[in-house]
Amino acid sequence: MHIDRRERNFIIASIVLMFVFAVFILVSSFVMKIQVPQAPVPLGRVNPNTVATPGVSPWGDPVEERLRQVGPNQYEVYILGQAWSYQPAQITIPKGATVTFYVTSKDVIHGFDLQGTNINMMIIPGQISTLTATFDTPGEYKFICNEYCGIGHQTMFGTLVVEP
Amino acid sequence: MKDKYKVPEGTIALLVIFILLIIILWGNVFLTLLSRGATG
Amino acid sequence: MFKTSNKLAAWNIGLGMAALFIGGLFGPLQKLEHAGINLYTSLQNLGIASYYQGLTLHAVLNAIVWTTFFIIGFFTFVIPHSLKRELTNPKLNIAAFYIMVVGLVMTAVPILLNLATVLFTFYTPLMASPFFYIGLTIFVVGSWVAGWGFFATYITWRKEHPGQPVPFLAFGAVITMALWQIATLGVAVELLVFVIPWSLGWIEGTDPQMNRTLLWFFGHPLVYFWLLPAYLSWYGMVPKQVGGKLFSEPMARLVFWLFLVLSVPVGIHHQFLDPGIPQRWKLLQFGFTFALFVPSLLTAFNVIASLEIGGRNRGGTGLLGWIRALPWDDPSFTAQNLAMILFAFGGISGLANASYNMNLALHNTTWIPGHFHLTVGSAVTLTFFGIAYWLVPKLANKPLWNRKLALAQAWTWFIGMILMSNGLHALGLIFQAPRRSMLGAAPYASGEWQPLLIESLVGGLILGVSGLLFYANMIGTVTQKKQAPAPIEMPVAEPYRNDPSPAWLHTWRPWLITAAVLILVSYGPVLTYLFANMELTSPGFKLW
Repeated sequence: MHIDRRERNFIIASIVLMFVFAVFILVSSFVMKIQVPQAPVPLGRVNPNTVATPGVSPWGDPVEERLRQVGPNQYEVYILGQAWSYQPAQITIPKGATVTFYVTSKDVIHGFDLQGTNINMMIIPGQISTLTATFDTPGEYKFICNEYCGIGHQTMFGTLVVEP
Repeated sequence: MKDKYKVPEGTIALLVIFILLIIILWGNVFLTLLSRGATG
Repeated sequence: MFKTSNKLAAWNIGLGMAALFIGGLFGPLQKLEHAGINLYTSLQNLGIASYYQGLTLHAVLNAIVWTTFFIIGFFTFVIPHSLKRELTNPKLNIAAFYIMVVGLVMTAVPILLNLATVLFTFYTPLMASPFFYIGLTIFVVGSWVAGWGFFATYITWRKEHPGQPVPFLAFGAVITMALWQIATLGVAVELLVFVIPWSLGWIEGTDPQMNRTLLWFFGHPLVYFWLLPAYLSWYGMVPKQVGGKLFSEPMARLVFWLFLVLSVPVGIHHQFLDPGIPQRWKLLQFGFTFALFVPSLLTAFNVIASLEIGGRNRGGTGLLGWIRALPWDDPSFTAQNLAMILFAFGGISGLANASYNMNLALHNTTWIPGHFHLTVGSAVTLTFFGIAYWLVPKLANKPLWNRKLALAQAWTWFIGMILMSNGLHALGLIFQAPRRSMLGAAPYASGEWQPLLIESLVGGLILGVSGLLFYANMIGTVTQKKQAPAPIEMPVAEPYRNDPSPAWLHTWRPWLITAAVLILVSYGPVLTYLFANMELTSPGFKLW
């Protein structure tokens, strides 16, 4: 098959460009650890119909107990998404804290997008979504539902407060 | 009218601009991603 | 010779345009709401209960009904004219039309009654009326029947012309329908096996992660179902319209084969942020998605080179001066060329979406509708308008009502789309503003968003005006008394070179086998994993 020399060079350049971009992506995810949520999660699966029941899972615990310190400057927070709020809706941590978020839903698919960070996850009933971030800058960061979940979707958000 | 086979110079010029645009715009998003920190 | 197929083509295209008109009305309403002007409360008197019901109508009518009917109508015209023989079994294609209409009505009624405000992706466990899902299934089956009618015509032609390569236009159309047949298997399984029985109460629960994955098996090749007809025009018609030739017909055929093979094994790039899918399958499909970008880059080279031939044939000189020599007074060319320029940007934002963890910055922000209004909303829709500017006169046997109006329509679409999509892209990338949301009523919305929301609004309003210009011209064309002074011919591009193209560009088996293998490799294990871990626990929710 005849391929014009310049066309062939363009094809080669395009493929090389894709490889270069792919290398940047792989470095940013595996070396710089900007990673996407994935399965399987050590905590496993949950049943959305019972996940909010007290005693069944961490998401059934009282709201005050959802944020847990697990080390010096290390925290875990168990957030339950539901139409149309997060529970807890406000989380306060000290500056420099590293927080692992564990989020699930007791009803429909929601989103979880924490402003100013790369924490952006689909929250799917039955599944646990988890990512971790370190908060070096004090301030208020909203986490917003970015997947349609019904008539009140646009009101669904929470606030992460990082104290100085 | 028989076309003589011609080199598509203008095409190559436009594609060079397009590739540069891809690199600049994709790169901009990449830097935004990096600026928001690690998740793992 | 083509009376039946021409008439059927006209019906399909007309119905598609009617759908786009209604769906399009919601666009400006959405942009107004985002900027703080909520007209939905007044619309409640007209039966539109909410922004989200409007959004469901907007997407279903624009992204499913308009596109599918136009594409099938376009192919109903193109295939017989390209093969120079009428459809083998016109009754099959006529039946397909009626089946699709039944499906459309069965889907539309629940949406209009606010029983299916689930948006066009209908993610479970939001649960719509069973008629919504059954209607969609019937609609898809109708489109299959249309495809079978095209395949039958193609097979008959091949028997009548043994050893001859299929004319390019018919070839591209048949590949597109073959891709559609394969792609729709995902959503068919989702609906028939899981969602319809669940919505009827026959199964108590469903697994939303599984359903999403089956949907996106379909959802990515869906966009190539939309795009390939536009590429078909750009490769196979526009070069003729500009007085040029198709720079490389073999490469154009190769690109269509590559899309057949690569469009399906990539759907998980819509699910990079899903919690239930193991990383290795996300990475594998990321690789395939990057490969899938290459045929579009090839299209850029081939199409631009073909235009350059035309520009230089028309007397253009200099490195870029030939651009000015192109037929900018022809609205069919202008609309399609502007569509190509918009697509260049849409392709770039799509490449960003494909880039695995880059989704963390982009997913479900307004960047996403920014992206797809440049692709399905421009590359596809504006190209279809450009095709309509010669095809509708051809089918009506009347001249285009107002050429200047058509040019104004193309340019206003271009400007409106630049403003709207720029606003949406920036809002999503810089501020992480969410999509699919009544932003005007969102407590987390920031004043900083307002300038970009206004930019988007201005763009959206200009697009609304542009749409009205299109419909005015279409109605004017078909209702005028004037007849076309001379018969309008389908533009068919000639190849620039007459080299024989290799046999492997004309045989199906190796390509179909490759497509099947790639799908098995990319989806087999992950679907097995999801099936093994499936928990049918979610009941239905009606949250609107």
